[in-house]
Amino acid sequence: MFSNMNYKNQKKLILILFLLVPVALLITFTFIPALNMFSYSFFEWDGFSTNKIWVGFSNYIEIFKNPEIFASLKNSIYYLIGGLIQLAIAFYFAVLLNTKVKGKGIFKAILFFPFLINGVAISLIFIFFFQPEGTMDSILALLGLSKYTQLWLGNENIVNISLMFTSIWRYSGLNFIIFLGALQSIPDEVLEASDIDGASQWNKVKYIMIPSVKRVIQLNLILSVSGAISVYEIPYIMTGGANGSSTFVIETVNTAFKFNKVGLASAMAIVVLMIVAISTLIQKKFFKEEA
Amino acid sequence: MKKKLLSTLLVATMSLGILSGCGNGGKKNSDVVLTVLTNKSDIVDTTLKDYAEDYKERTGVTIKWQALTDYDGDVKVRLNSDNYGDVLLIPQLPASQLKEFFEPLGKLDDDNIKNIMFNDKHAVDGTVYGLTYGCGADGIVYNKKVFKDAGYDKFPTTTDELYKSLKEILANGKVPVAINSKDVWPLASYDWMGMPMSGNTNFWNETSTQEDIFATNKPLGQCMELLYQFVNNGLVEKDLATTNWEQSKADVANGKVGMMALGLWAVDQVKSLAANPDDIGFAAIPYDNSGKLRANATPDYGMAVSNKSKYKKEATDFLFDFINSDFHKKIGLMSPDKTKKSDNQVIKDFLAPGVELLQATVGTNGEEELLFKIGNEAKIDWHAGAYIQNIALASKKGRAEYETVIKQLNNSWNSARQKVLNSK
Repeated sequence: MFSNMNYKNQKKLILILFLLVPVALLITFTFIPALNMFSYSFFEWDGFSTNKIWVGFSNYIEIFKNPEIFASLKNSIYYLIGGLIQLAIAFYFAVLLNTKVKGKGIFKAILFFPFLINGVAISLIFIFFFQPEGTMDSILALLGLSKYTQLWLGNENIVNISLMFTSIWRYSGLNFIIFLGALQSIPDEVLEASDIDGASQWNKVKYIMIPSVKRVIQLNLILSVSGAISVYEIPYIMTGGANGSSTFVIETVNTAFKFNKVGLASAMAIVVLMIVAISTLIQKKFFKEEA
Repeated sequence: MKKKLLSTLLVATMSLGILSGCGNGGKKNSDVVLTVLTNKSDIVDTTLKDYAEDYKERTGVTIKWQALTDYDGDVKVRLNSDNYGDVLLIPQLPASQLKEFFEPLGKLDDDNIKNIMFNDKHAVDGTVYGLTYGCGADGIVYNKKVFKDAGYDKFPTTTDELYKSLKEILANGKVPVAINSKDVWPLASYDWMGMPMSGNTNFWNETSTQEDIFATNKPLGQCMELLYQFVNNGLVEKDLATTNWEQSKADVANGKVGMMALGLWAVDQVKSLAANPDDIGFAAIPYDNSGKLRANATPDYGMAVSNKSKYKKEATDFLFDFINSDFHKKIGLMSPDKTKKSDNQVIKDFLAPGVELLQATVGTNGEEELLFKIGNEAKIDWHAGAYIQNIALASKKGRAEYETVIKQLNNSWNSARQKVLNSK
């Protein structure tokens, strides 16, 4: 039957068959729950009773009336700064490892490895890292700097910086690989020609590499912003959001499961979605005008 | 041709993987399998497994235990579905919802129910939905040797002596009190103290009628004041952000930490980690300088039968077998049957100084539901600890910060109370 169809139909059939399972999974585990959550945001519900009360838009009104709820977005600024530092580190290593360096493969593996490890495992290990007399304090002691030890997670003035550091460690590898791929797509002739013209390494970076990977930098910026707004995993596991390290998504999860207000929490989740969507649109507009 | 055969075989093998989840067709009578949900992840492969094997020998019914570490959180989500085991422990729920999820076990004056303590905790209008398998008490788990080295052969029975002993322990280079702030739930001990602090068994039912419940002259305010004194005087862990529950048990067991405010249920867990189990003791915390001790008598979780179970009779039989067994002895609790006396030395030592065990009165007018409704609105998670974590962190910073947090809690409670009462 298959071999009786013409080529065009065969192609269509294969495409559909291949897409069937992924699309089914996407609908079941992403779209249906998202639509359900959107509907929950119009109810008052504790998450398990069979009794939901319709309240219309009052959950949304409560979010915008209450200044505390948005206060946790402040901490996203730390992660945004972390995201920018990540991009700088990733780009630096991508440029470096694009040239003739011995042991390129090993360095690439070392840089990318953190991203492959499960986020929960990383967060748990970094708790030990930041404990009093943990790894961080031991390193400082080795370098003779033990008078600079702090309560890295216990001091609310620096807890967000410690968490930001964990986030940078985890995600730089991803940005690095993307940049490396983009840099490797620059044709060699262009670089050789610039060599002949006597360009220095810095000139090469500034006038050839950066413009070629502009698209990728823009993409990474968009991802960093949306990642910073919806950051959740690392602070939730390391501090539970306590001590001034809470984020908007952590507040949402707590509202749903600690205080049993699933309706309000669903509304908060939709609000985050809107914020991320709007910021992405703004960034895209900004980049389009440039081009 | 070879490639085609290979790829067909691969697809066939992988498809078998999908089919592996499917069950078999016919069910035989003696092949009843009961799924029992529990929070006791530490003994599910030992004590509970032994019980299951013994039960199968006696009745032919297979028991499959499922241990959930974050019991309340996980089970509440499962209650949304029809799959929450055949027998399970009852999480924090309003009484009005008991009949939605659980099968009635009988009436309060039934012969097999009337002598069980706390039989009215999970009952509505005389119908009982849940019964507990063990009774404990809230109190202090402490290391006798650490206190002895500080000059106290017996656990202090007045608050002045308590603070003196803790300061002495600190001077000896040990951590006097572990509060486990990071894991949040151990802090709940400090609001459970509200009822014995007040001496009034109707305390929790009356809380929703009060304003400014954390004021320093009110019982809950006094409990938080106790926590403030511990934290602000440096009597707790050095870094509240990186405390570790499992580690803290080992620290009490080995004498690095003096005491923790927990319950009778924790004694066996700490003893099992101690080089010398007799070093571990359990005592009531003094609430004043009168020398008269009171403690919260607590039921362990209530066990219930799911009303979606396919084996309701077998599940109910198992439930009564379990609560009448001596499982409570294996976890160091008192029997739920009020006619049985405990021969456990730790319990005897605990009761020796004349501790009055107070059992909280169960409200019959939806008081508990109201308490939690206002609590959720005010972001005060009763008996779960998150709001207490904020108090602990503020206490570390100073008196002014502590008083600000207390004031905020009072304000939240007052306005939430107004909102909930006005919407009725």
